[in-house]
Amino acid sequence: MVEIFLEKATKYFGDVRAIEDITLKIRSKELMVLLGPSGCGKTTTLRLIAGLERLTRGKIYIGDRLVDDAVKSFTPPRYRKVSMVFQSYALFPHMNVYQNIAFPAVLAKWSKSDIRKRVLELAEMFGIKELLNRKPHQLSAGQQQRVALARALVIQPEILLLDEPLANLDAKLRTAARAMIKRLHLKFGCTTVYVTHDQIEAMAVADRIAVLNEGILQQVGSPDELYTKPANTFIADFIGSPSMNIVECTFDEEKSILDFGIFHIKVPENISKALKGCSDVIFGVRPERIEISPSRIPDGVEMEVYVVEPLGDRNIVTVSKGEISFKVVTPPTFKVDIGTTVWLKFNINDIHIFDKKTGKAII
Amino acid sequence: MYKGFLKNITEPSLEVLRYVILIAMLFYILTPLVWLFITTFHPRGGPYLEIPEKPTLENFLILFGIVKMRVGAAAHPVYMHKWLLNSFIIAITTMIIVVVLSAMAGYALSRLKFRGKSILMASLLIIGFMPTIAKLLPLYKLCIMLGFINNLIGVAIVVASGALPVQIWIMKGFFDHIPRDLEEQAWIFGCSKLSALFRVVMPAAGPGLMVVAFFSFLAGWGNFTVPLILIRTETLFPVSLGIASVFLHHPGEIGLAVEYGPLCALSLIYALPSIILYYLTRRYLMHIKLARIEVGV
Repeated sequence: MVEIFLEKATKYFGDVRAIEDITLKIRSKELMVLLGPSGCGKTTTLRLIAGLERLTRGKIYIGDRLVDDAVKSFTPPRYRKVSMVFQSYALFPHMNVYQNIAFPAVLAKWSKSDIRKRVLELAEMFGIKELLNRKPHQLSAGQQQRVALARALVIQPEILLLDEPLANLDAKLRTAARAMIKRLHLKFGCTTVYVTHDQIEAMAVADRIAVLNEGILQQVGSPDELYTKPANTFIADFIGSPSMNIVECTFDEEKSILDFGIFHIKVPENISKALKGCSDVIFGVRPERIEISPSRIPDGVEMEVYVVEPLGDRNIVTVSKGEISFKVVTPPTFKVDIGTTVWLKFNINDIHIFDKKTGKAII
Repeated sequence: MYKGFLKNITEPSLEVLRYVILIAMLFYILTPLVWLFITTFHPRGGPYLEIPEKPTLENFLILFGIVKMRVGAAAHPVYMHKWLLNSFIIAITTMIIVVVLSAMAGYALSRLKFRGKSILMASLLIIGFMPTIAKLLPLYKLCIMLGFINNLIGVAIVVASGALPVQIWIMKGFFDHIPRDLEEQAWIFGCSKLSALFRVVMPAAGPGLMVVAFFSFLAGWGNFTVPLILIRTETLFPVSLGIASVFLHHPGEIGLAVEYGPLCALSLIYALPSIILYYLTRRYLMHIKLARIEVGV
């Protein structure tokens, strides 16, 4: 269908940078999630695609049309053939549910019978058939969200933009709605851009994720890529729950060890080669990839249990020694008491090493 | 029970006190209205309160010229139905001018950023609260130049100019509470800026427009000062001026030349629009549910 291409997209509000030099290709029919903490520029990016903001520099293409080149060419939202669901859902308060859903089709000058057929079809699909005569303020948050989605899909859009579509739902509804959106995307096949600050939500729905921080694109990749190969410490910290253990250390080239001060880890030759010339590095390991044992392991690191958080399906054990601490995810059957001594072992294939100066991943 | 009874005597509950105050206040507010109501239905209404033995609608019939006045009565009831019509013309015209202009100005002040906006807002409010009398001299000269003398539309234009500033503020407040998302959503679905304004923003601002319509109609309906300086001919008087003129023309002859019956009927009709309009717009006035959708309860 249609792909979206941002070329060095830059947006400033006065002197404040919203996004800078973002080059991103959103493939046809793909569900791309823009992920980042609040204020990272993800909503601005979405609004730029919709045409609600104009670029300061750069270009945006929708399909092969140049819709914004920051100078002369600018296509207003109504000609962009995009559909959007706002975080607030933006249901028109003076219209009932039927009129709300029908609104885009009315503007597109569909015949009355076509509109009726389509609205009823969508109402059936979203389970809001009984609500068609209600006004938006008489609906629950979940119902409002479904009405907003139905309205966005009423005239088969090529591009669907979703701005934090689940943010106003409670936790239980959110999981269900997440699955619904994923199914909808399969069914309608629109190129979808989905903005969220919730990394679990992003991982759950995305084909690919673009992570932004402070207006800069950090990494683009599939959920799996972001999880296994974070490009920098920001991604490493942001993706995964609990987040990756990140500890500063120094690399001793002669002895081929990572020196943490109170303990050290020997690294094999291939890693040692990659680290040639770096002395100050950041060591990262996922909590679920650490081996932990209450009894001594050969070459294990001896640490003390600081706290144990049993979550039912797993335990999160925090261990520490001196200034250094690690979170470790264990099966619920792993029982240790606070204050006891445990031994950790890091699998060399599961560790990440980042440059301390730039934060970029070395291995 | 005995104990309770004693308690009631020695310690009158707040409930009782509340009713006493309420009744006193009602008496204070309602006495003239009750008087008006009783005299209206009296066949020979006079300046004294007298409950009619046989209530009649004759005064209304005289008012609208359906029944002829008895011989020897004062002449002013002949004009009364015209006064009503004049008041209505002034009120409706004022309302249309104020609603249209305050909607446009309020929207602009709410959505657009421009230099000097805060000064404009402040001066609107200051001018809005200035008494019309203060501006009377230049206003009068201007009205002569513009041909507003003996012109009902001219009166409405002047009344509207006085009512506008505050109503613009009210409208701006309503527009401020309509989320921008609604407009942006309409643009995305294919509306131009203008069609989004008329399809989405104005309907969503409906309660605000109703409130402004309510106030501006009553501003035109009840205005006395402006017609007083602009209208000279008795047939063009609005009710406010008409009723006053009856008393002004016949000082010292109260009870003789003033036809109390028809005059009370007129006054009663004159008082009605505020009740009717209140009834029509009460849900917007009482709890002005601004057009915001409460999300997440």
